[in-house]
Amino acid sequence: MANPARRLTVRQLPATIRAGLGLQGPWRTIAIGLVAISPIPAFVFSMMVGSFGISGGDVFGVIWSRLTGTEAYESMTYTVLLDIRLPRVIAAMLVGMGVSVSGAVLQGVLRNPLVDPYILGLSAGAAFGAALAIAVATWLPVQLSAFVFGLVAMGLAYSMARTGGRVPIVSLILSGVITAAIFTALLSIVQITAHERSLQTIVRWIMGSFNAVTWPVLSQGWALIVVGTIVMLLLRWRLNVLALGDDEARSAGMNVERYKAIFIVSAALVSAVAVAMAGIVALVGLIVPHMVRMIAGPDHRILLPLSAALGATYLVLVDDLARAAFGVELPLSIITTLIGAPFFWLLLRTTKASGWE
Amino acid sequence: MLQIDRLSAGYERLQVLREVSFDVRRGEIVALLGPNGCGKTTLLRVVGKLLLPASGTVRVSGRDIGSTSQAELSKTVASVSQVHRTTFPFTALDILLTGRMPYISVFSSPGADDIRLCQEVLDWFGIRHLEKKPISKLSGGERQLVMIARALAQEPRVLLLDEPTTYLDLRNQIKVLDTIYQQARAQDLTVLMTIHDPNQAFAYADRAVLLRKLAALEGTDPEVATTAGQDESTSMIATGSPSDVLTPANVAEAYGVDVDVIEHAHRRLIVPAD
Repeated sequence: MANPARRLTVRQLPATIRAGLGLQGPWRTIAIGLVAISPIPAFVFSMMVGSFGISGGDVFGVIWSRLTGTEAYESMTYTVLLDIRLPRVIAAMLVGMGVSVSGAVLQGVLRNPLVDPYILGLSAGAAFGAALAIAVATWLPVQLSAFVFGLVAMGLAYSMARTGGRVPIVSLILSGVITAAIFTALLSIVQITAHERSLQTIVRWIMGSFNAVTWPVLSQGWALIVVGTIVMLLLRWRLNVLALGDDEARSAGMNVERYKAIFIVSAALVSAVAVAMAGIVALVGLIVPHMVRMIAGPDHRILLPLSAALGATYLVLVDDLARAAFGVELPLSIITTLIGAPFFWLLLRTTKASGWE
Repeated sequence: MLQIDRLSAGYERLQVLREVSFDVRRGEIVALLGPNGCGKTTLLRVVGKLLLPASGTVRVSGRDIGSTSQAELSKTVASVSQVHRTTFPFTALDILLTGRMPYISVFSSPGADDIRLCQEVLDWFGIRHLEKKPISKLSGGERQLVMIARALAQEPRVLLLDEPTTYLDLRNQIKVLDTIYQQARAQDLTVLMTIHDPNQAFAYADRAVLLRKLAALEGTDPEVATTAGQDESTSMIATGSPSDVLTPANVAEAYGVDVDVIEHAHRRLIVPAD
């Protein structure tokens, strides 16, 4: 009699949290709910802040009056809010969302929690492409060149790793390192030969900024980010299968190489557009999925949608800091690194105890 | 249920398995034995279509697996590999749910029915209480049971197990093998498993297949290679009931060691010869 009773209480005990399973009980629900809705207040707040301050009510008022065609505000207000601030805020949210989802996806596909979307040589390739367009081939649009060379770098890494129809994970990570090294070398050539003014532009670009985002820039890239992210979100449960190992996934009937390709190509396209729009934003795609895992655990069914929400919130708030908190506009990577690095350190300390290898 | 016909396989130019033929009847538990490097794991990988054979065929319920898609095959054959490392601390239930992959259409994820079925499988194994525990916090034995349960969540007819007892202590070895035995009998499952301990083959298998390591292989243990008159045309030494296969002569040929077979309480045991 005593035994079943004891088993019942053991079963009712909350399962261990510290094991990387995320929070448990009501706190988990509350935290997940807060993260899920966070992009809405973050959007309103980001529209409010800036050298041209405006109240939250007026944010909605301006958007509403533009939609309905009534001219209730000064034309200056429309220009600042709708032509300058709105595209920038949307871009920051889209890039934050896309990079975070891509990071979570690549961590799952490559079965390595310390991977970010730049692992396949994207950042180096894109940086070279941007530098080329800034300093040498000035007729090239910078975003386009960054996008194309980012993809070229990732394609190179992927094809180097591919042997006999399969893409072993270790080869993929190593060929990413090699590709990054190649494009970093090429970037150095451009930098050495570049004029001082374009050199400064290159450095600023490499450190990331939404400064240059306007409606035309946004209109070129948003669709690819949205579509790629939706594909990854729709297939997200399959990451649980894939994350168990190639043989396990294959024996469960999964076409492993096909899904790897779909996930990697989607993540590559999304992060290449993100890089083309914003330059290189360090550590976001690495840190955001981990923040979500701390709240909700490793299940990709919930990890991916929450990473999308938190990524959007995080990057738009970082951009608010970058453009409004100081006298001068700061590059994004300075802020994301200063926030991300201590977090990363914390992660290394705690995950040692949580069973990650 | 399973027909393996003149199967040869290997990696790159290295032939590991040569001309292996045997049948497994429905509901049978068959133990694969042989020295390290004799191709036991390779054989299981070929049967599970994780590796393509160099020549020969494998038929499951009469169908050549070469012309069966992976998705189709996974509804009949499930395998559990030897070592399992998890990067992410998924819960036992999440791991079992991945076994539902063959039955879930492209953009969907497992539903309530799948969860119920997986919980039922956990019940069969007596590990329902582990449902919400992360795999990283489980013991080796529990982890192995979860991985076998994951394979059963695929609702297979054939279960391939690669050394299910490696790295387990005695208690867990017995627990895992007992569970496999009970489930195989209860579900009318056909089990093909590699195993190192011949005594476990006596205790748990209906039949045994004994393989030898091919001498042409690099790094062959010279002790084994010099066994006089080794037949190099096939990897198979013997197949049949465990007591017919695991004779002192066959064991000497496979492992290059002298053993005695003793009988205790109507059970056979293999012990090193004095």
